[in-house]
Order: sequence, then C-alpha cells, then structure tokens
Amino acid sequence: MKKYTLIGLLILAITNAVVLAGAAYNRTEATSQIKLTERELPLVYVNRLINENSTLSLRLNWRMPQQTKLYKHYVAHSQILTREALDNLGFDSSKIKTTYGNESRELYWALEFEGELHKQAIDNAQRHLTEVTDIYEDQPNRKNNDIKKSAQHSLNQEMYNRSRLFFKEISHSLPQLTAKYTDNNNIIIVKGLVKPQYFIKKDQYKITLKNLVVPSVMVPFEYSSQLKTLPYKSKNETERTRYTVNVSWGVKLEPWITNISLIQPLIPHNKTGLDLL
Amino acid sequence: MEELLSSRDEAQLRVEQIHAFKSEQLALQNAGVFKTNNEDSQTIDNYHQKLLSQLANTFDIDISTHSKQLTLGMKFASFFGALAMALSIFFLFYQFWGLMDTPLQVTSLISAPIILFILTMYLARDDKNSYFSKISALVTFASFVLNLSMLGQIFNISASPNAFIVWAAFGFVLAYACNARLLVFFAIVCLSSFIAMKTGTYSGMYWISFGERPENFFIPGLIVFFIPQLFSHKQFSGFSNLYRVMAMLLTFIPILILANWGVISYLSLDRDLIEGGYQTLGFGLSAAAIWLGIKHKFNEVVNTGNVFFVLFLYTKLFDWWWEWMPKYIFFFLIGLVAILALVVFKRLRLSQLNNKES
Repeated sequence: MKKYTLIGLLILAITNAVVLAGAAYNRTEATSQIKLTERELPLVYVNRLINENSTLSLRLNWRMPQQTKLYKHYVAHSQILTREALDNLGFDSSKIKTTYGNESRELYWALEFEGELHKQAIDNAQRHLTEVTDIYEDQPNRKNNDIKKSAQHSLNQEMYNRSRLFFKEISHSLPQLTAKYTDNNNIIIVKGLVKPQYFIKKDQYKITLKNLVVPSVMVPFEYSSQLKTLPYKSKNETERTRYTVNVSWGVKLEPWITNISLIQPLIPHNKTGLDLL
Repeated sequence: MEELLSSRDEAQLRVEQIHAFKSEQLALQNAGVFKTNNEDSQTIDNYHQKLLSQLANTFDIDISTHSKQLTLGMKFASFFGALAMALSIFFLFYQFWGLMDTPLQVTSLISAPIILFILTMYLARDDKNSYFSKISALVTFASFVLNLSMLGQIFNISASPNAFIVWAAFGFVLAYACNARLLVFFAIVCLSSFIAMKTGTYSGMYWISFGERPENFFIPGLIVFFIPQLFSHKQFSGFSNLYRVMAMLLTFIPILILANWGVISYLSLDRDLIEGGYQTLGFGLSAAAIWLGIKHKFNEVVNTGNVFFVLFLYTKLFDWWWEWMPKYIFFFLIGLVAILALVVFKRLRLSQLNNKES
C-alpha cells in the first residue's frame, strides 16, 4: 500500500507543479496587450436551468473581413488560397481530399483590432445604406422601407455593437508573424485551428478557420462581481457596450485579464447610424 | 487447512466446489448409488465448515447464496454511490468556485484530490476490497480530473492530450490499490484515448480530432489486450477479463465503423476495397477471438467474439438485402441464418462432448 500511496502522491504533486509552472511561464512576458470591450469579449451565457457554474467567462468574438465592396452582415470563416500558399502553411496539398477526412492543424492567427478592416466594414455598411436610401426615395414602398431600416440597423451594429476584432492573417511560423506585426499595437497573435478543403470542379483550395485554441477567457474573482450585476444582453439588441477589458497574451499565447471597468454608453440610445451620416 | 489459495477468485471457486460437492453427494445418496457413514460425513462437514469460515475471514467472499445476493446488491449500491459522489463533488466545485479568489481556487483544487487520496489509502489499508475505499477512490479520481480541467480554465491554458496519460496513471494507481474494476475501466479509457490522440498527432491531425480516424484505436486495443498476458492479475478480481473485453471493444468497434464507412480510413484506397477489407478482417478476427477464447478458457473473449461475429454478419446481410428484398423475406432469411448458426453450434458442442468422453 505504501508503494501506491507514494506513486499517487507523486503523480498529484508533479502534475500540479507542471501545470502551475506552465501558467507562470506564460505570464513571464506579455506578447500582446490590448484593451477590448464587450463587443469583442461578450459574456458567455449558458442556459440558467442547467448552468450551476458560479464563474464568468468572456468569449473572444472575432470576425472575418468583408471580402468585396458589397456589405455582408455575415462573412463565412473561410478563405480561398493557392496551392502554394496552402503548402506554405504546412499542409500537403497533394493529400487534401475533396470530401471528409481533411485534418485540422493548429496555426498562428493575427487578429486586428479597430483597424483598416473594421473601417472597411463600416464603409461598406454606409455605402449600402446610402444606396438603399436612394432607392427608397425613388420608390417609397413598404419593401424598400424595410430594406432601408435593415441597412440602418446594420450600420448601427457595425458602429456601436459588433466586434471590431478581425481576422488578418495566418501563418505556420510564430516568429515570422510576430516580426511582421511587431510595430502594430492593435494586432494580437493567437493560436487557432484551420481545416483545408479542395473543390474539384473549380480546382480551388480553401481553408476554414474553425476556432481558437483558447476561445474564452475566465474572469478573475476580483472583477466578476461587477459583471454579475449586468443584465442579460440579447444578440440583436443595439444597446451600447458596457465594459472594457484589458487582456494580455503570454509567451504560450494564452490570455489573461488584467483589468475590467464598467463604462457609460458612448451615444444616446435614441440615436441611430443614419443620424450620424 | 487450505494454505495454497492466494486470491479472492480462487477462494470463491473453492467455496462453489464445496457446495457442488455437497449437492452431488446428496443426489447420489438419494439415488442409492453411494453411501457414507455418519462419522466420515461428520468429518467432511466439520472440515468444510472450518474451511468456509477461514476463507470468509481471509478473502471476504460469499459462502452462501443469500450472502451472494446481498453482495450483488452491495456492488450495485457502491457503483451508484461512487458515481453519485463523484458527480456531487464536481457540482460542488462548480457551484462555489466563483465565490473564491484565484489562490483559494487553486489551493482547494490541488488539496482536494490529495486529501481524498490519503483517505482512500487509509480505508484500503486494512481491506482493499472494502466498498467504502472503492467509493472514495472514484471520488478521488473525479476530483483529480476536476483539478486539472479547472486549473486549465482558471489560467486559460490550451487543452493538451497529456492530461489523459496523467489521469490514466492515477486511475491505475487507485484501481490496483483498491481492487476497483470501475477505475480500471476509466483508466483504460484515458490510456487508450491518449494513445489514440498521439497516433493521430503523429499522422498529422490535431489531437482533439482523434476520433475522426477509428484506426487510431488499434494500437491501444493491442496494448490493452496484452497487459494481462504480461502481468499477472491473480490478486485482482476480474481485472484480466476487463482488460480483454475493453481491448476487443477498442478493436472491433473501429473495424465495424470502417467496414461500413471506409471513407474515414487512413488508407488511400478505393472506398469499396477498404470496406470489404475491414469486413473480412472483422469476420476473421471475431472468429479468431472465439477460437482463442475456447482454447484458453477466456469466456469473456468467446462472448465478445460471438457478439461481434453476429454484428458483422447482420450488418453485411442488411447491406446486401435490405434495399431490394421484401421485408418479410429479409427477416425470414435472418431467422434462417440464426437457425443455421444454432445447428453449427450444436454440432460443435456435440463433437466437444464426444471428444471428452473418448
């Protein structure tokens, strides 16, 4: 019995020591530091009936950039690549099957916060609103009015509600990606999963950006009480952002929260994107 | 008095032999074939009584049908008790860990499995077959799983397959210390998941997608099958059987999946060829398992081999006939196949009996 006791205690001690040392090592240096808001880090809500979890987590809400000048509310998490680009990412394009069975790979993603890609999304939404407003003024009917309202809502969402964190670039080499964006303080580098695909009819390679390796960040105890007082916020609500979060990513690209503050609404509730044009 | 019995299983077998001897002796006396004088009868009875009480004291086994039924009830109670206690500790943490600051969370997560482990070892020290030590062992295992997964959440650590090998090692330690089969089951699940994840990683996939390629489970299946061959499990009741059954499940379930869905195989061959190959392998291996089981008297291997042979057969028949055959003919043919199997088994049984007689 002594033998089992000793082995068991060693397993417990060594494992916990390794885990804590890994967490400490990650925090020895911050590779990215950024101040995000509720738009980029919304609270993770789970069905209250089954959820007995007393902690809070924030989900990193990243988006794909607009790929054309036409405004799209949702852009699929995929990108068309050349065969060479795919091979450069560490995939073997000759082995990529058209259907089931392509294997995901962990790669480094660069995400841009409140940069050109966000500006492009607002520009597209504004252009779309101007176009549909012109159409409504020429043909003022119910259908065109609904389209205009929807475009107004989209612009509003882009300006005050939707995430400003956009996927920028992918690489299999962390040093390359870090060197490229070393002077950009609005770029964060994270780890995420990527799955390749081949479309035989179009002879086209595509990658799907599946999910981040660490998709959410736990709120430390000292900040959780202020977030717990916030009421549930539905997805379609145009309510303004309610808090800011300082997040750091460490040596192992694992994030942690350094500060959370509640904020006042940026614009009054009765204003819309159209009013600001 | 008996000194040679070294395991609980052997002692239980000895008790059953004594009961069988007594009932056969009674049947022979009733039939008038055999008579014992009272003195001999008394000597044998006394010897058996002493032996039974000695075995009951040494190995905590069932010496009567009533105690066997009660033991079964206790086994069920301890199984459900252990699972419920493990879930309870999980939800206890979940409910209250948000009310603690990070140092307290970390301290309680680390200290819970250590305290519970020491308690388990204390309970198992006097009697490793104690139901209380087994319940405590499962709760300890659950708290260690909780320990690692929640530390991962607190520090936002990237998930890693290495957690599974650590859980497996800890599960085995608890299982062998407390003679707990349920923990061997969990430890085998963790160990085979870890090996399958690593096999998947070496072949280029992301570790969490290890289930997408059923072939990843062949190596763990093989390893688990040979563990009871390499290390004696005489002291551990039912461990060898569990290893063999788990190894067969780890091998046959992937073969069954690949025999019907060849597209997820690692092999870059024609889909029909892959499926046909795995169907043949499935039939061959399940027949070989039945043969091996009969040869080495591994009942569990024979039974598992039988189940999978029938599954391979029926999925194939379904494949061939379900679409184009009227359903009444399909089920009639299935019935005929079952009758044919019965005839074959009966002939095998008869030939075995004849061999024994000769």
